This record gives sequence, structure tokens and C-alpha cells, in this order.
Amino acid sequence: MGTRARKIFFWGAILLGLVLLLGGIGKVGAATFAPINTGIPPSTGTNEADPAGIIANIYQFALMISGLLALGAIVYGAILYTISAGNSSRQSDAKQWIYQALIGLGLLAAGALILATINPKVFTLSPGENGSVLKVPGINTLQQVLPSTTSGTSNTCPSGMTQESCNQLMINSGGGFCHEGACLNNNNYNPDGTAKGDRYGCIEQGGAPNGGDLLRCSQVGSTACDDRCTGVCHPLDLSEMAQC
Amino acid sequence: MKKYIIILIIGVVILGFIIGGYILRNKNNDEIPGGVNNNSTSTLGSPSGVSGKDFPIKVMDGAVFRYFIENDGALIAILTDGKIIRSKNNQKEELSASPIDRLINTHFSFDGKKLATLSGNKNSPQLSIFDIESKTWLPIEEGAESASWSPTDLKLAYLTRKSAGLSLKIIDLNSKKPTPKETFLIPAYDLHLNWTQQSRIVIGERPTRLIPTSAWFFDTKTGLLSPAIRDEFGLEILWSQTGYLGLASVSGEGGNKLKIFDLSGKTINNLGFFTFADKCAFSSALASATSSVKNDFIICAVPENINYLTTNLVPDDYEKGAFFTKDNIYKVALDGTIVKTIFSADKVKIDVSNLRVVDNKLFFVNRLDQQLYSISL
Repeated sequence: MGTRARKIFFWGAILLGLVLLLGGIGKVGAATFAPINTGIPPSTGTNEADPAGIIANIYQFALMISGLLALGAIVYGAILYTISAGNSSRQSDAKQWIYQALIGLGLLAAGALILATINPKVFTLSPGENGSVLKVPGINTLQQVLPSTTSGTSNTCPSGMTQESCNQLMINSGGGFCHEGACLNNNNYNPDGTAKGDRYGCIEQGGAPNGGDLLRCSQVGSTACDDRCTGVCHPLDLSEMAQC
Repeated sequence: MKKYIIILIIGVVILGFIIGGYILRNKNNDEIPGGVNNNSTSTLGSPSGVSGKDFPIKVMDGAVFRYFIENDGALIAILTDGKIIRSKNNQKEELSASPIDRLINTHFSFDGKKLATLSGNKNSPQLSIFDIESKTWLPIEEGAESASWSPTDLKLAYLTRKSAGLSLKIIDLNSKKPTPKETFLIPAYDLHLNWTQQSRIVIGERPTRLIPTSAWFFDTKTGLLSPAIRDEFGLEILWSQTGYLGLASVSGEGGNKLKIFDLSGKTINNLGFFTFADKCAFSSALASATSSVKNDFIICAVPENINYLTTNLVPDDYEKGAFFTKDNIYKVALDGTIVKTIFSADKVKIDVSNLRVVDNKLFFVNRLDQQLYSISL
């Protein structure tokens, strides 16, 4: 390889390193951005099929390639030095390869060290803490680049769950669906996420639909028979149970 | 020519690194799920450098049979070999070093000060009580079948086998000379006790898919027996801390169901998913009568492959240890809505049992290795 090729190789490696470095800095800077809910079904690991997974894979792949290029340059320089047979010009050339590769590697390592110190998760590009938020440098909303299949945050699932797995899990109530980070079942909820009014059969009994009060009454042992829809807790008399 | 050789060598070296890295990566992923190292605070199957926030952390070494978390955070555990240990801040104290031959069941009292154990011959188990403070054993009776502590004091109810059925006895460990008192004779066998409220003991039949079983309330004050839940296949019940709400799993011909019911036996909610009631725990907030419903929840470990439960005889096969499950852990609202994934079984296999919620942490025993773990909620 001539000097020109070496320069192209060197600057290419540096450029790649800078791209990664800027990407990382941007990502750290993005911590101050407002979190964007992407509607991407999050998972505990990086799902290769989702955009977060793709970006993470590209990021990690580029980092690996940079390291390998630097390593390759060092190996090349070492071999060149070995076979230079005392030719001072070749030896100098070989040293230049090694030095420049080491500089590139050092830049990468320093950048990685700084970024990892600021944010240890910087190289994993993991979803946010609530499992559904992804912070991306320079792009304020992933919805700009992703096909929008959701309206706002309405059908996000609990982490590690998808619409399909929620539906399968709720098989006992004819399926289920995700809504605002929760997996709801069809028995108790309408498709728009609102609770079904008569889920305890209260309307049939002539009382107000008040499931919350029913539960509260029940857990303190105060509900019995007809007062379960009134929203008022009455002391439970065990002898009433036979009538119930 | 030399150039090509050099390029070839570089290519081979790079390829070697890629293949080496790939092999190493796969080797790390092949580690036994649920496998834990000897570090007493190891994180179950988590990648290195990952905190225990999303992964279960092993609380202590040893195969745990039953455990109790004291108010000051100390852990008391009886191991499967019968040894009793107290652990606090990684300081272990052996309360009882005597091994127990064939431990059948154990129960901690409401305050964790006493431990009832059933051990020995399965046809005629020995009931004994261990005093945690004095570290002494008190033999109670041979031939006891099931035992349960009062949720409010140191009274213990237990069943003993007689020719006409099972005799329900209650012994008060608060008294200076504790003497068992026979309460009544039940003309049935194979029952288990669960003392859920101060004057209410739940007497249940052993859960099985083969015949319908029931559970009854026994009022210790009036002596009345009333039905809690009737004729359900595979019936398992978990009671809330107050004893006013029950979570029942049934495995009948109509499919597997998980439901919340009240003291009248009426179903309040059919939860949309299924797991065994024994794989769930009510939140401690339910212990408060003034707690808001919105703050109340259940933690449930749900087998990842639900279909697996329909192809086996459940809960019989599961209780016998014929198969294990790979569980996800969910935080569930009382209406069955799954509001949060606590743990996803993507990479690590855990089979959750013996759950307890304490201070926003879930403690459980992994049936795969019998170790005690905790995970943040």
C-alpha cells in the first residue's frame, strides 16, 4: 500500500471513530430531551427486529469494525516491519501504520471510556427505564421515521410483552389487548381502554357500577349480597352468606 | 504477491477474531439458566455489570424450604435438610444445626418467632415446634397431618388422623403449659388447614384435577362450618393478608381459570390469564383496610407456555414435580389487568414458588435450584 492508500485508510478509520463518538455524545446529550414514546414493544433484551435493536446492532457492528480495522492495521504494520529486511523506508512505513493505528485505537478507547463513564448503558442503547422510551440523538421523535401504527401511547404494552402475547395470555377472557402500558382483558375492558360498566353485573342488580368500591369492601370483609353495587360497605355477617 | 499474502493473513486474523468472539458469546449464553454462583448476593443469570433491578438476586446460599422476613430485614429460613438459619447483612447464624429426616411441611408463626414442622413418616408425621429465640424444639404430637398458625397470636391448629376421620386440635403456645384442645372431628381425610383470620380457619381438600374439591370456613368462636368455595377441579386458594379476599385457581373441564372471590364465595373477577394460585402473592397493601384499591395488586408468576399446563394433569403433575415451568412475573391489578412486567423469562428460566411481598420486593424460591431470590417491584 502506498502513502495515499495508507492516508485513506487512516482517515477512514478516524472518520468512523468520530461518527461513533459524535453518535455517542449525541446520545448522551439526548438524555435532556423529552422522552419519546415510540410504541415499540420493548423487551428486557434488545430485540433484533425492532428499530432500537437495528440501531443498536449497527452501532455495535460499526464499533467492532473500527476496532478490527485498527487491529488489522497494527498486524499489517507488524508484518510489513518483519519483512522489510532492513529497508529503512519500509520500516518507517510500517512504524507509521502501527503508530497511526494505535492513535486511532486510542481515540476510540478514550471516547468509549468517557462515554461509558458518563452513561454506562451508552453502548447497549437499551430502552429507557420504563421499557418503552427510546432516546435517540438528534432525532426528537422516532415517530417521524417509523410508520405510525399507534395513536400516541394508547396501545403500548408492559415491557417484554407484545399485543399478540397479551392477547394470547388473556385467553380465559376471550383475549386481551395492550393499552397505555398495561395488558387488559376483553371481559373487563372495551377496545378503547374504558372499563365495562357492568363487569360485576351491578347494573342488572339496579346499583351503580362501582367495581372499585366492591373490591375495597371485599378486602375488608364488608361486602355482602345486595350492597356490592351501592358503593357502601356494610359489615359482613357470616350468617348472611347462606342467603347469598 | 507479498501484498496479497499480507492481506490474506490480515483477513485470516480478523476472521479468527470474529469466530473466536462468536464462540465466546455463545458459550456465555449457554450458561445454565437459573444457575447461580457461590456469591451470596449473586444475580440470577444476569449479564455481568447488570444490577439486580431487573434480575432476581440470590438472597442466601442453601436450598430453602420455607422462610420468614423479620421487620428489621433479617431472614430466617429452614433449609430442606432441616437446618434453621438466620441471616442479616450477610451474617449467618445457625439457629438449629440438627438435620431433620424427611421434612414434609413447615409453617412460621405470624411474628416469625416460632416454626411448626411436620416431618418423618408420611403416614404418621411428627409435629414439632421450634422456638426461634430460645432455639429449642418442642415435640407436639405424632400423627399430625396439617398445621397452620393463627394470623394474630401464637395458637396453632392442626389435624390428627383418627379412625373416624380427622380431629382438629388447637394448641396455645402463649400459655405456660401448652395443651392441645380437640375442637371437632371431621369425617374426611386428606385435608389441609389455613388459618386466615382470628376466628376463621379454612379447611380445604387437597387440590387435584381428578375430582372436584371444596373448602370450608370453620369459625373457632361459634364452631360453625360454612362453605367457602364448592366443587372445583384442581382448586388451589391463596388468601389475602386480611383473609377477606381469595385467589382461586381451578383446572376443570371448562379450562384453567384464575379468579378472585370474596368471603361469600362469589366471584369478583375472573382474571384473564391462568397460573396456579400458589404462584401468586397479594401485595402487603391489602393488609390495610384503608388502602386504596388503586394501590392494591397481586404479583403472579405466569408460565410462559400456557398450553403446557393444558397438556399436563394440573395441578397434580406440577405438585409432584413431574414438570417445571418457565415463568414471567407480572404485577396484576385486582381486575386482572397486567400493569407491569417484573421479570421476563426471555433468557433465564425460573420456576417461582413460595412468594412473599415485603417492602416493595418480591421474595421467592426458585423450584429449579431451591434457592431464595428477591427482585425489586
